[in-house]
Amino acid sequence: MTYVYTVIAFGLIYTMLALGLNLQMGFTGIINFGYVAFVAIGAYTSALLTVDLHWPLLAGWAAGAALAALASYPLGLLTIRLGGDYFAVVTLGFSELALLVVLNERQLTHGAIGITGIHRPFAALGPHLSAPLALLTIAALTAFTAYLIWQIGHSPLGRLLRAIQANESAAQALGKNTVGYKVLVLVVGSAIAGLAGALYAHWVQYISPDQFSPDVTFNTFIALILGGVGSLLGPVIGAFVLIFFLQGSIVLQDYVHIFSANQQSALRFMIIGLALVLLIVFRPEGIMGRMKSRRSRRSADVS
Amino acid sequence: MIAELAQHIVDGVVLGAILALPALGLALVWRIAGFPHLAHGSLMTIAAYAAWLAAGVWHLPLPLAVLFGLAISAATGVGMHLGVYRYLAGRPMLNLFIASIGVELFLRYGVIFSFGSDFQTFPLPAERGVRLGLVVVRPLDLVLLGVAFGALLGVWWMFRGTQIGRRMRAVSDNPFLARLSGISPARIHLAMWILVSVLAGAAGILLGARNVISPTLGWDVLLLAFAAAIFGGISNPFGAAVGAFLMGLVSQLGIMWIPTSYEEGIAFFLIMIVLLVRPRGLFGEAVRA
Repeated sequence: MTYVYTVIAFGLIYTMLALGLNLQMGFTGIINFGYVAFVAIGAYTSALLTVDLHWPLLAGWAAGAALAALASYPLGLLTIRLGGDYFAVVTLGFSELALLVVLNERQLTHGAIGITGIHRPFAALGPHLSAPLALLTIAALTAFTAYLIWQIGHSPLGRLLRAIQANESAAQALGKNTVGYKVLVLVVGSAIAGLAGALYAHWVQYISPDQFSPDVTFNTFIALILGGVGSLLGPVIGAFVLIFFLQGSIVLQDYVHIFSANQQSALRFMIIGLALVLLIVFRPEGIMGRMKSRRSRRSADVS
Repeated sequence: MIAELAQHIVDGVVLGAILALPALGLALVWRIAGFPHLAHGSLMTIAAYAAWLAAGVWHLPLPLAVLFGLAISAATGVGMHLGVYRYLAGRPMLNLFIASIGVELFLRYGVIFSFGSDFQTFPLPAERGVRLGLVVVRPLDLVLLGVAFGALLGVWWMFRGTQIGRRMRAVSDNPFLARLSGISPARIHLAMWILVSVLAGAAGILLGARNVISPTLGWDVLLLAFAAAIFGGISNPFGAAVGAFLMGLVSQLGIMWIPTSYEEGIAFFLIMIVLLVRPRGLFGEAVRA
């Protein structure tokens, strides 16, 4: 049962990550390849505040989201005007730098050893009650995030963001401060990533730098593309398909012994890479793409 | 102090020479195929492993092993192009970019699947540093510098003196005009992928010989190579090569004051500063739309 909880919790956390990335990439066309940096900032902020400074849990989560947002603001101001390809490389560099800081600033972040003893929500109620209740909390926050994004998507702001994605110069010509809105989207998406990171830290109760490699960014992109970029339900489906595949192949490892454990985990990532390539070549609009009209399919292509 | 400075300068030039090859390739792919190629590191890694397999396991002579490594990386590059990127020509940059992540994951974990994640080393004779004035140089580094400069000169000659090279430059400058002049993009793309794969493969083998061979050999220097390419200017492949030498120098001189573990961080700051002050890079001609 514990295992089922964990699969669902990871699915929800990846849903939240994909929702934040969808706001940036799907709605606005910002290609943030340093996404994991903001997840890490959220996770570490909340873990350090609650473990080392004994802050209450909710304050830790809020601080995690806030600090992730705060870190993205100067980065956005400095780099959002760059072309999409430059921005992607710069953000990838940013996430590598964040990882280096976490690894090297041992006094602050505990370095490669990581942080242990992070509390789950409702830990006082004992392991049998705390797991489902923590899961419900994560589910509620994910649902709230989805609702928030859905609201943004159907508001005038959402239309403006799609306009920026479709043709930024045209939006500028209409007098819109497109740079300001892009920074705003980067900040909001990073706050969501930070919150998801904090939830992750408090679910697994132990974090270390190797959990925040660029693979997390890539997985989120895969979840989003799998589900359908720019669609509202897509991130949920993509995230759960990805997690079922990842966790399912780990379970399979216990029963099938053709390859060594190392080879099996390598094979898992080979399949993910191959799936990503096939998806981009044959179905860039994702699983949910079929339901959309041809026009919106083309705009998904533009992203 | 002076000796230390000189030593860092030598190390910087050597690092720059290694970075110059993938940086030049990244700039060419970025210009001609139109996207930042994230799987470039895999080309380096695969060449290093192939050469190691030939030299260390099959006990082939070293020159043959190197040729085998280069052939495998060229085949891999052509395979990427024909198997994946060719189908995405004309699609938005993001599609190609993300496809290249898929290719990178597939190849990197393919290497781990085949060879495990342990480090490997080339069966090279033990060497002693040679004292040249103030500095001590490994003989291998001299070979490395020679190969890197030779390769750069070769590419320069190819771009100036051969038809395929001139056509490649034409497509890189202005694909539309090149097409109007009757240059077939398909052949140029193919030639470009062979060229950049061989360059990356050579860098991978050299890096593997200098340090160790690991599944993330290429990925670990990819960001530095990107930084070098952006630093020198994507629009000018030789700017990217010069950028690589500057990157090498700055990062090796930087570690005199900044902890070694932040070497990659220096690259990041350099990209940021260059992009803010001069978005087209040091030697770039125009901002690409």
